[in-house]
Amino acid sequence: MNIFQIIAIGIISAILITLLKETKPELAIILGVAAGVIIVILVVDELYEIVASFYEIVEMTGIGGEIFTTVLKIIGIGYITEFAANICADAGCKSVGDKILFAAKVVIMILSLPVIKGLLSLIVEILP
Amino acid sequence: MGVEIIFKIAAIGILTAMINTILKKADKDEIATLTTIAGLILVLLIVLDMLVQLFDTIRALFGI
Repeated sequence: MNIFQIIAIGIISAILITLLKETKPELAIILGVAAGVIIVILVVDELYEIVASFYEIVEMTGIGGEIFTTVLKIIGIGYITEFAANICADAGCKSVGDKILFAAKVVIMILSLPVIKGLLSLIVEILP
Repeated sequence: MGVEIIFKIAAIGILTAMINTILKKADKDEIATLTTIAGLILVLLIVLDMLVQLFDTIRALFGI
């Protein structure tokens, strides 16, 4: 993962996007999507290592594995919807991006319900 | 995977824009719109393929 390569890709694609903007606006949007995808794919290998080390930490400390997988899902959903919402905002339709963010909040709430229930039942047991 | 894809997409965009203006000068407007759509579809195919690859890696990584 070479940060300079990523910076170079970002700047070059920004310039090419502005170049394409006045003649072919739709291609400029697609170029923005392509640049985003390339930069993320370049960094995904490091993400694998981070997630693997988190799994080791969870096993070492004995925290509930199920809770950790839920947290991981929420992080993944949050990242992907933010990626899509930014693309929609770039394309000029911010309202669609906000709808995606709203849907993601609903999905994340559904995912986190069991964890919240477990926590509350734990607290009820502790209280006299 | 890198800068060459971005240059490829930009080249397609510029080419379609040029072909458009040439065809418009030769007042063949319907073919001009056809080339625009063709360029758009070509670029879409490339980028959608990359998007699918990204979403699969993210799905595998986060276990969604």
